[in-house]
Amino acid sequence: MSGAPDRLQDPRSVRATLRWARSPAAAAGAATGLLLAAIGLIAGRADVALLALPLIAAAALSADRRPDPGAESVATLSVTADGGGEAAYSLTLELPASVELIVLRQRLLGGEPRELVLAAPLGGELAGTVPLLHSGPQEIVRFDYRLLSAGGAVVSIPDRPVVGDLVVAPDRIRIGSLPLPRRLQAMTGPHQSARAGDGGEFRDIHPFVAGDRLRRIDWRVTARLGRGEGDLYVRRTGALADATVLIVMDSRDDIGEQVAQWSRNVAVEKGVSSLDIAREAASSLAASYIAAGDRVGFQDLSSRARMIPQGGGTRHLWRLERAIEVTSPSQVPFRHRRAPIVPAGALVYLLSSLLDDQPANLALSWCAKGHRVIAVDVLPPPRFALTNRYERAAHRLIMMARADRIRVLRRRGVELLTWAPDGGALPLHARLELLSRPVRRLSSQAVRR
Amino acid sequence: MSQPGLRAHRALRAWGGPDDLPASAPIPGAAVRVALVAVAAALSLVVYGSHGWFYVGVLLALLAAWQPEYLLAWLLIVFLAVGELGRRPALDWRLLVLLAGLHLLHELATLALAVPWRSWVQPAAFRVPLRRFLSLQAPAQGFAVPVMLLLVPGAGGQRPLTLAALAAGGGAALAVLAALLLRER
Repeated sequence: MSGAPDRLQDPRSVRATLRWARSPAAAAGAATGLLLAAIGLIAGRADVALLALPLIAAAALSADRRPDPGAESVATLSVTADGGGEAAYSLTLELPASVELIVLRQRLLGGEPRELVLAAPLGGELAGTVPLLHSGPQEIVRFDYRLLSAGGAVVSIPDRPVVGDLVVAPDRIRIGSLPLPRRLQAMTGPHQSARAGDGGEFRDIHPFVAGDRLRRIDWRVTARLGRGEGDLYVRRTGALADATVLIVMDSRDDIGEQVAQWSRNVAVEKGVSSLDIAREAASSLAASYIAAGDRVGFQDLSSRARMIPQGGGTRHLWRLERAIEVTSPSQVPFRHRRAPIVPAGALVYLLSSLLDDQPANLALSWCAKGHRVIAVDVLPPPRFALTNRYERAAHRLIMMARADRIRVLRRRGVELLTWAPDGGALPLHARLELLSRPVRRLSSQAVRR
Repeated sequence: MSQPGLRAHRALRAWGGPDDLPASAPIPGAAVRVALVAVAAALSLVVYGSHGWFYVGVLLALLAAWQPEYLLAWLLIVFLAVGELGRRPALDWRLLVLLAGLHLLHELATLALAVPWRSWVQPAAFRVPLRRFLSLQAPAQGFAVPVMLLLVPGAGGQRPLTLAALAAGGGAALAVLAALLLRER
């Protein structure tokens, strides 16, 4: 992924005591040789008996060159992600001297395995690069290997695989216009509040009341408007406040753009997935609000461990980014008896594919409590390669139910933001700009940076 | 999804050839099985000619290549060796070719058991089996010539040496085998 920080994973070593099994080839060769020798002897044919000679000699050689039963192998794998959207891996194998061939099975990104047959010992390390297709925690490469010794007569039993994992940071988009909650909190912050106070821009001219500071008296206005001796007018300014934002991620499923892969969900084949978009959206929103001086919290609906209370500052952003990066599909339903608690006056972003009622119900309950809720639709635009008509019909039905759900959400006051680029829709920054406009009953306003 | 991500998707879809592997392995694993069938077919032709038994040999070879774990390659070796009984014993090129070919079939069948047919094989992986084949085949061929000259009846139906040569040859072979098996590692 572009924009991902360089991250070096420590090399992972797997040491294994090799367990050997006899290949049936050695026994078959020896038995065949003995059978031919017997036939030659019985038939009195030296030529037939001679044909047995190489087979028996090969069996004898194999028996003689059996490997040491206590021998060990050490496999060391390292995976490195660069910022160019690729991960580099390298594997080194330390093997006993008696090994002749290595049958290596390599699986990249959970896709179809590929097998290699290599001569032992390896001249160097096995290295390659893998394009990073998704963000988040993922298995980059997995190696299994079998070793052949004694002319193929002895084969090692595969041990634990060597796996290289990586957590890939999502892309981050710079957001110019940030929607704000209906009610701004706190006595200080980057935003102009509707309340009268200190620090903000000019608000209005108001008759002096007890508690007003004397230096706020505007003598020109007092001279112009004052009717009596005691009439004084002050210039009032707006108070400053910050916004509290809660990013809620629905990470139950990871649905790709390829509809044919919805049931199989193979990482290599499914294309851009809903969690890729959700991580990108969450990371971009968190970074933009923190940069603006606001307070951001994060909650993963499928895991109570990934719940971060609202806060601000660079260190808090690191915590948020880490929590967003490691979000992975849990494939378990929500177990909430009631909706997660949202800080008073917070703006809630609900990142979901909205394919079922559970996240929609949560959004409606928060909206009913007076929070501004923006449902971020993270379902990628569908692609129908290799789909059959049943899958297309099922997709149409699911989308119809989803459209009904979105219609209900909108009618009840939940705003919708489609994050993935859509053919006919406005670009993302324009959609955010629309959401950032002041809405009815709002005392806050959008802030432009 | 950003442009690098989309490019990565396209790059991964184009995978599949040996160029993407972490080591140079340009030979497809199926080549071992193809070689097994080719050698078996050639030997069947040498032993049985183009008669009906030839097709039995080819069928066995195809089955052995298709499912090596059924060990049909060694049945094929027996089938070809038994075909030698249909000829008069003589020291000619057919015997020497059969001696090398059956050993080669054994090596190829052993490799076919180990090498997955969809794999890619490094050329150096054939070095050890080839060296083993040559190191066994050279003395076997050298041994076959005097054995056949001494033990096989000539044109007059007389064997140059019968019992004594058989005993000497068998004793030598047993001595070599015992030395190999009992040698201290």
